[in-house]
Amino acid sequence: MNLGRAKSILIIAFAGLNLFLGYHLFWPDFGRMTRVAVTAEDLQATEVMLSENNYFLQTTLSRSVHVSDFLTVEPARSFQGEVLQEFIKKGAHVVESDNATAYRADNETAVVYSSGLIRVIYEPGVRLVEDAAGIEAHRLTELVDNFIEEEKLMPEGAVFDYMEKSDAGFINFNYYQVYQEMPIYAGQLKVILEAGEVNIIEIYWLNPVDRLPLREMKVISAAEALQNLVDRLGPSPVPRDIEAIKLGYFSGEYDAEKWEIPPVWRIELDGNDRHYINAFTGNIEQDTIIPEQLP
Amino acid sequence: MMEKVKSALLFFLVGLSLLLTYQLWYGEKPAQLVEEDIYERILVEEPRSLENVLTPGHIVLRAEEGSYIFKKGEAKYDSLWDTLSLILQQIRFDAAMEEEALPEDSVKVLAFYLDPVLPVGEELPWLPDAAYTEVSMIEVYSNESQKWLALAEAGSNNEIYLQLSSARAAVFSEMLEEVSLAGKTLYTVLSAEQQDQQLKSGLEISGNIYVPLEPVYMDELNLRAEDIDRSLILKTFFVDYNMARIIEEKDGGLIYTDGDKGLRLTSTGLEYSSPQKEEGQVTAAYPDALFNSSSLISYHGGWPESLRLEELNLSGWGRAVYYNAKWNMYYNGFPIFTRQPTRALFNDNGLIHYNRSIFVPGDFTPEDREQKPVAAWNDALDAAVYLLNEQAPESGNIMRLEELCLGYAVRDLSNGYRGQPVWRIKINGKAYILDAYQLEPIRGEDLL
Repeated sequence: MNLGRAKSILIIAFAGLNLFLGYHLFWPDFGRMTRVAVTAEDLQATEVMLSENNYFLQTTLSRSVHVSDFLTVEPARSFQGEVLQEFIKKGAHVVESDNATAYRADNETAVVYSSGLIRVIYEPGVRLVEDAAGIEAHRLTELVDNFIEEEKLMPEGAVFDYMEKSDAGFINFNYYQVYQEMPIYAGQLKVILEAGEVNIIEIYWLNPVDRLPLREMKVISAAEALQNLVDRLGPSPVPRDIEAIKLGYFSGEYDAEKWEIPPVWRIELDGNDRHYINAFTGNIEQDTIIPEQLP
Repeated sequence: MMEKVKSALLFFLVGLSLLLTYQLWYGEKPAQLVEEDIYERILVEEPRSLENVLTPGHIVLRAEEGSYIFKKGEAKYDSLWDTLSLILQQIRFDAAMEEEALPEDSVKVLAFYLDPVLPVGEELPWLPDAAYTEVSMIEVYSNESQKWLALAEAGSNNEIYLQLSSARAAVFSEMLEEVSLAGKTLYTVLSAEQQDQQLKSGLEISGNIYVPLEPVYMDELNLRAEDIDRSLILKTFFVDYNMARIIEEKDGGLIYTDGDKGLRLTSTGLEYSSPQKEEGQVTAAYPDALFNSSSLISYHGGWPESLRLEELNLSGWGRAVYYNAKWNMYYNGFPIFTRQPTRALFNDNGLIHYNRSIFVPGDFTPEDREQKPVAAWNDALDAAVYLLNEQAPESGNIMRLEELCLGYAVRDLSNGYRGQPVWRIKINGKAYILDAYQLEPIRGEDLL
């Protein structure tokens, strides 16, 4: 046997060995790409379950297997500092109270709460349009976007989420935060418009500190999240449309140093009702489960 | 040229195989494997048997000149109770043993105040041949030759009298002979007449309240928070603790929550809450609830030797019905009061809320400080009545004294955690804590 032939045999043997090792090492991840979390039968069964309870799926479900992890966040102090710096430049004077500090400028006040929430109050309100009802929604959103940018209140990674009209006649414009292409629903910016004037802007922005890849886990499927939501809400007396279901991060608002937030399935009903299902546990995420003092 | 390519390829494949082998052996596990590896066997304290769950609030030994009180943490308290408990477990209850009344020459020797009440009867360790009932006090009577037990049924005036065999009576006699009263303070039951003589304002007295007839000497106590194995306690609350996320509070506390329940760990204890379990039923009978309370505290942190079950009652608010169990630590017969008592609320769904705040005596100060006499009980009572009149003048003429005792209040002082001697006085359901020397009020929120 010559050396060239021996090399060929060894190349074939090692190529086979590497295929074998690669299969064992990466198969679960390959499988994750090729397998589906929601089969056609699951999807059908989910639709039947929903319709029996008077819910109707008006969006497509993600059928692939997803993995996710906890995201460690802290209040975005640097952004808060930038906002307050602008107020100080405007000549604001500082008034401190128990859990908040107010920066009062001529016609606007920024109140910073210990949780990290910033509330900017305009007195009087800043007029954006004469008649908010007579203008198209996307045009109104553009005007609001521009206003926030001009006021230097738009944090990095803010994405417009939805607009809603309150019973009191206000129009709220909601933005969420995006980090590495995943929405962080816990980070929010809200603009409150009354009779065409911006009255209040609330910003609760988070600084993602760390993802925990060691705790990466498979999340429940979108179908399972829907099942859990219906189990919790019960049958609806009126038909309800499920308009969107999307994976993101969410938690309540904590007055804390830093915390981990879990992945959630956000389910939007009728365009105005949003529920957050913990994508690891399947529980509905509540505002906070911090232990309370006993009664 | 071809041979060089083959050599390079072979070299690459050998290197790759080494790398893949290393990665397979030592590398991170894929996510799905992590998920499967979540359940873990944990070792926790065994729950106490029912015989060891209940102990008396206090034991009173009658003497000619007054009474001596024995409480949890004092010498002979446990042996006195163990003797009685064992007798109650061994007695084969027979109607013939029951006596209608005690002989006139019998005198009361001992009284065991049982709060929470002691369940006796079928399928229970105590008097297993008797019909089920709950006992709030057991007194031991004696004459020259015999001894009797008088069992007071809870919630009624009914008493059951049982004559002890001579062997069992002898056990009691031996036990009493061993009790040393050296250094013990003499107490007496606070009576209305005594109170009228010594106090400016009249009070109704609820039950038997014992007050010292002699000066009581106490000293500040060095304390430390119990050591909690955080990793273990986390696993007792979260079956899959991978699902629990962490919130770091500004004061250094850590909250773990899975969105359904939450656990807060601080430097001095823990608080747990599972609000979704609140709206549940309670079907467990009182003896089962006693055992459940033992299981809960043993599982979630353990049951230290000097910790006593103080209360177990059925409570509720809104649509929630639950058992409320409360424990307290004792040192040398004095309770240690904290801002939040160690408490568990539970129903058929499981544990709803749990607070654990346990302080244990730490190292003693190097210098031997002398114990100082505390203020007299009547001065302490006067001070509490003054506070009540000042804070709630609408309480009017009816004032009901429910508790009057000495203990230690846990404070965070500049030199560490301290047990400050205090008088605790409860009038009309409101508890006042007064510094035992100066009788200055201490606010509940100033305790740890």
